Amino acid sequence: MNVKLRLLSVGVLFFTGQALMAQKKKSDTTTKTKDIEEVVLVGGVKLDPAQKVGSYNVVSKANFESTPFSSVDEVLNGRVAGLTFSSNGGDPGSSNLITIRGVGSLIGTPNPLYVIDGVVVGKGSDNASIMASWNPLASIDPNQIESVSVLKDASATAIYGSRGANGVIVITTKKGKYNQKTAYTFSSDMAFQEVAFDKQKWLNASEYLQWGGLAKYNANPSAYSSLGAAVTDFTNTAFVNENGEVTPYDGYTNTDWKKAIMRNQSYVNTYNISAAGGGENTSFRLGANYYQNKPLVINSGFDRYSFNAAINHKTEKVKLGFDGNFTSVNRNTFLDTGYSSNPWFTALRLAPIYPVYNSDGGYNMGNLGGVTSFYNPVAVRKSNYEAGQIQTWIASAFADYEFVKNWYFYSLFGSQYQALDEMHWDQPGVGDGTFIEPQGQLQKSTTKVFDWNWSNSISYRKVFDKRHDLQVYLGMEYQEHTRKSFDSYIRGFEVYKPYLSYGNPDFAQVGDSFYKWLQISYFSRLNYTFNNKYTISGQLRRDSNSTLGANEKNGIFWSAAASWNIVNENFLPSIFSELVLRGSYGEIGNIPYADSWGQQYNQFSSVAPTNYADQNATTISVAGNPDLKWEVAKQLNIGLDFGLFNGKFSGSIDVYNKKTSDAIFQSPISYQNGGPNSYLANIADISNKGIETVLSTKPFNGEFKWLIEGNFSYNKNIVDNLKYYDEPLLKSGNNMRALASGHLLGEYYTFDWAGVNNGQNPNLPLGTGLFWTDETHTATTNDRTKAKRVWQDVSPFPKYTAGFRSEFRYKGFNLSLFFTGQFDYAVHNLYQNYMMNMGSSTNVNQLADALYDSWTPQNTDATYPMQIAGNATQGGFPSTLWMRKGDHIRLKEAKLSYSLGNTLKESIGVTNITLYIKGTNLWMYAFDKKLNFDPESNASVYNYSGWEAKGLFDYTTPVLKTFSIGTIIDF
Amino acid sequence: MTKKIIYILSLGAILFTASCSEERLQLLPEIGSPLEEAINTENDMRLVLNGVYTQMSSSTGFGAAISIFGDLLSDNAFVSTANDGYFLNTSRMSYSPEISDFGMYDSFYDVIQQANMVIGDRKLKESKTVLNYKAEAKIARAMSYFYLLCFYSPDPKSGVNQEYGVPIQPEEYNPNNKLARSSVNEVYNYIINDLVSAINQLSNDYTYPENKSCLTPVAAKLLLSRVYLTRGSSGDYQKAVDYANDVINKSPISFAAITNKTSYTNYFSSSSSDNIDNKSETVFEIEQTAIFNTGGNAHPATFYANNGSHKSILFRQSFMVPLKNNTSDWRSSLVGVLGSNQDTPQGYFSKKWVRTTNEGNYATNIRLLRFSEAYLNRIEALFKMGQTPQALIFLNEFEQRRGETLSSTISIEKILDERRKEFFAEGYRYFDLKRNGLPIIKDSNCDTNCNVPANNRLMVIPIPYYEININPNIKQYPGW
Repeated sequence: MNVKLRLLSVGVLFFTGQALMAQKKKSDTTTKTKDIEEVVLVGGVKLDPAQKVGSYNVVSKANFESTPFSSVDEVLNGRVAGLTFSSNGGDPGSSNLITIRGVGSLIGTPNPLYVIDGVVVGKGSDNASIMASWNPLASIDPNQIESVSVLKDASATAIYGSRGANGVIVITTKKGKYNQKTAYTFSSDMAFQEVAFDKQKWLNASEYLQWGGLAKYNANPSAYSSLGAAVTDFTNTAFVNENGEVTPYDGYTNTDWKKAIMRNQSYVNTYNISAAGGGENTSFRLGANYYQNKPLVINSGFDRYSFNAAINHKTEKVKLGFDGNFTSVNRNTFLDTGYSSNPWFTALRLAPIYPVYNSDGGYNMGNLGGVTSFYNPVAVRKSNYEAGQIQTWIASAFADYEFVKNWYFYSLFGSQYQALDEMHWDQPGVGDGTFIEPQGQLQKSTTKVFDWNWSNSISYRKVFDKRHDLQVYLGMEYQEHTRKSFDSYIRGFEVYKPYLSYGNPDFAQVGDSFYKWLQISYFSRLNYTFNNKYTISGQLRRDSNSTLGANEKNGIFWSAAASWNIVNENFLPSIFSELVLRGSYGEIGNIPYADSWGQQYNQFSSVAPTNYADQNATTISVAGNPDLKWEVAKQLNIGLDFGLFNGKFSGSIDVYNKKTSDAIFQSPISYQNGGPNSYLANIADISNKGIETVLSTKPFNGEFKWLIEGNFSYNKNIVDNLKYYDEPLLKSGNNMRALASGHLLGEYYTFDWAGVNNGQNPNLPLGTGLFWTDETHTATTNDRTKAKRVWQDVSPFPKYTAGFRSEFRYKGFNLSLFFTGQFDYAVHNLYQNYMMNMGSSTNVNQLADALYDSWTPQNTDATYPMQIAGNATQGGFPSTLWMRKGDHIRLKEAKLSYSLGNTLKESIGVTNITLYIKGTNLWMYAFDKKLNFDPESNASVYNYSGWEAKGLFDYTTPVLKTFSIGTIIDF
Repeated sequence: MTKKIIYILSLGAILFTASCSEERLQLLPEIGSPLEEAINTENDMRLVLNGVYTQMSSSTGFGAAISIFGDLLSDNAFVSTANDGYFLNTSRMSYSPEISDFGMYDSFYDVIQQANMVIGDRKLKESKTVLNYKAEAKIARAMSYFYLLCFYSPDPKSGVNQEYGVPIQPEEYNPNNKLARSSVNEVYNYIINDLVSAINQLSNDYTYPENKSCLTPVAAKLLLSRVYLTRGSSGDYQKAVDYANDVINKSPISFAAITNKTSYTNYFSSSSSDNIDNKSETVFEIEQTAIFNTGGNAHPATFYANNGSHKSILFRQSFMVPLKNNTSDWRSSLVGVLGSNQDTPQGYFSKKWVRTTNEGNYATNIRLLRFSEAYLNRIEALFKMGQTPQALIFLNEFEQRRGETLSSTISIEKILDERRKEFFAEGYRYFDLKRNGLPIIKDSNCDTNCNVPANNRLMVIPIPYYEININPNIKQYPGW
């Protein structure tokens, strides 16, 4: 065994923080010092010198192995203090919304940056042209992950420069081991899925007819002898026959449309195999994985194959390494959100009195209540779809050469190539394929995204006198990103095959797009540790980005940090096994739109080609800003890591203050100037202040082990200043959330609901919906235009998040429970007024509350106003009635496993077998009794992107609950 | 030692020479070009002029909104209870600066900005072709300003709040401008100047295009007759008559009124696009093709036609039933079937918009200006000048054309009634009532704002909250 290696490993164990050690103990694999790799950032810079200086958390690989989640970022949910996770859709492959220490920018994705083996792969935001949301991280198989470090403060993220301001997630994949006989691992997992949390109750057929009759009666009581007469009238005119004539309801149909579009069984299968080993100088790891997901909705699916290889070679002075990863995804899905083709949305709106099939066995297309003719969701799901084949290659190679003693040269070349083939097919006569002439449409898009970066650095690392540990780095990096896409559209299909060749060429359209941006950076870093006790660290960098204004492409950024390893001092009592006090401050440039495509050319206003009928035309397309410059994230972080009683009790506390100054946002252009309505400019300041704590303890550590770990964080996210918007800027979610100086980012700013009139307001009719005229709550009105909006002091971003994990181990058994909680935030249903329209439209289904919880003379204590057909009351419009508290506690994961250990090694050569059962999103407690949808869902990218999507439920595929059984075999 | 230093220095040198030059950072878009490079040749200018029509075809502006809102904001039409949620605010007149269905303000100024790119160009030498292009752009600009005034400003004859016109956009594009309103009078002068100078510029050597999807001197004259009729200052009604006469008597043969009932019915409700697109009755239309159209969620046909995707706009019984029963009237054939029974009383669809023709769905051109308007403008102007006998003669002529019994007397109600029958479902009624200082009185299918007097704030559409919020120089119309 190489002595140097062992020492280094012990050093790493000892100094890289209690968090790492605690995580290691939780892992199922036996602990071997040689598993631990230092976390290496860009440019060969190691995450921390001898001791922890920055603020970061490490998540061990045990959390990623054998998971039914389709992408890496989902696993991080609740496991990292200060990280808030929510999903854009339960559809596998949907992109997610993650914030670390709040939202720091007003545009672009708030997600942190992902770095995989040194390759910067972006922020998990959408690359797709046709599909609603495609998460590039879904290409990474979670099983190949060795460790994940979540970097949170300036000192940690500074090395990533301009893209690290939201935090950085550094992912290291598994490598081979030197001097190790080849070890194989095979695992498989099978999981069943259901909707995690859905308390929306819908009217059944007879209830729907009751409700329709009630609404008609309330609209015109004098026209009917009784309520029953109105119900009869509604029932007698509910159907439409094949000739388009109005006929009565057939008396027996009671369709559960939701059930009709769901599979009987929705499941996920995962298979994984890997081999790792190595000789004295070379090590390797090869892996392959197959993931198959049959989601809830019929005829949708997600398959993924991935292969990865890691090869490392070392000699005395040189280290070489190569990491390659190839993934192929096949995804079959559907249009999202408020589109009639969205099965979730339409199935819920279709009144239950309409049958799925006609009497002749064909799909019922014309008798659907008028509103959604031809959108029979079962028919739509059987014929129409969106599909994507996505291939991703990520590869990186590095060389580390000690060319002179203590002088190292490091070079890394990383690349990512993604090819997406997407299509959208609507069959003639079904759904969207019907309303165009000639019928049937096909849209195809081929997109290629290529990112590559090359960084070179020189470093000097030496320990003088055994006391002075000095590291100096100097380097430069070049990165280039290109996206090309080619789109085609054709209509008119007589043969129903989804290929362009079958369409009518008279109705063909083509288009293409091209975006490119690049960045040149120079960076330097200095780390100095004295006597293993005191460390200072500093960085200076210069970044230049091509997407900024003509005058402002360069920026100079820096950070400084210090830490004091108190445990090495003499005066500390021995109960402390670890005590590190650290602080850092940095100013890092950021370009918030850098990770999405479309806004790469902002230097000047420009025109673009378009057409008028069949002639070419030119119109203005971008309003430019030559003064667009870097937004700067300034972050101060002070932290304390401690361990007591020899590691029995450990944790850390971080306090931070993060300010984004000159935040880039759409600066509004007056309508009167024509052209685009905004351009990008530096017009805002945002702050995030908070505390994070991680605590872990081992009450029992003998043969029976009990580990408890919890994280808790508080963050307040305020827009300090927003130029040019004197009045609050209404954004996102039915204009209920707004941006304004001095208020929470995305704070709810809406009308205060005052209940249903039972006489409180004698001047207005009974049963009408009331709004407070202003925040003093002194007068009410039922005309919402006469009321003023009021700030609600709550936003869709939770102020408090927590995670709690308890693990029991006894002999080979392991039981773990993991809870997450998000508190003090609000959510609402984007389509509330469709689902509770108070009678405005009586031809669609409604939530059961419309019948049972709406005002009638017999039910005066109701939440919702009187239902009136063609209603005039504005009780159906957005107000605080729509807002729900999102506070919840969720049993995120429960797992019971049993490992045989190496008892079978002699007999069949198996080193270990582990069997487990696992459940995710099993249970949720919602503090708001009226919350009937999952508070973790976000709006689809068709409606909103970036922070605006948070906390909006818009009938995208809901968040899922899974039960799985699996096995892992090592041999 | 020196060896080490050499190593270090040479590697350092490699590091920095490997660095790239910063010229690479000046990336220009590949698809598209800077605004200053937009017009270098006459053909470039034609493409930008086509862009004016691209902007006009936007559904939030001329492409659909005009044809819909003009009828919803009146006693003509309402949104049925069986609806998809579109235009409820407009139908109930419950719009506000913050919340409304209206996007015209933004859309019209987009048209104006495109037109200004042509008119304001100084690079090209002003050949006949360039002058013709600029003139055509002027007509589009004037039309946009006129509709802006008609929606967002009070009637010029009311004498009230006349300082609340709309801002006039400078010809050079500057996204940072925060313009203040001009007075109603100033904008009218600007409009008239544009139209008159366009006519003068185009009259010499001008060849009329083959189709009606471009603006022409005939369109300019027709617009002028309506502009003068609306403004109603001293001498204006005569000018309205003069321009109307010009249109009626001096237009090329491709512009002419329909002469028989079958063609009239087919002009609106035929399933063959040959009967609808590019007809002589049309003075200006927005071109729609099978591929280029506002689509099933925005085209007027989707709301007006009883087989449209949304089929939600219905006309009141009190208007449609008498029209339907008067079978000799050409327009009675355009009354459609009864609408949803969820309305009490039921409304009627109109047959003026057809969803499907041989060209496809929603491919019928959007007719904005029609030859027949010249006749009606003339009648109204003559009546307002006090020339009642002459007005009655022309009214009778028109009634005879349309197969109606001739009126024995004339009144403003009769004139507007004729206009109502002629132009229902084409977005004229709101403007007709506003121009004449008349209230909107909805006698059925209405639960709020059923009687809106002419001086009610609802008659003037409020400037969107977005604009008020970011532009300190603009003042909202009083009452909003």
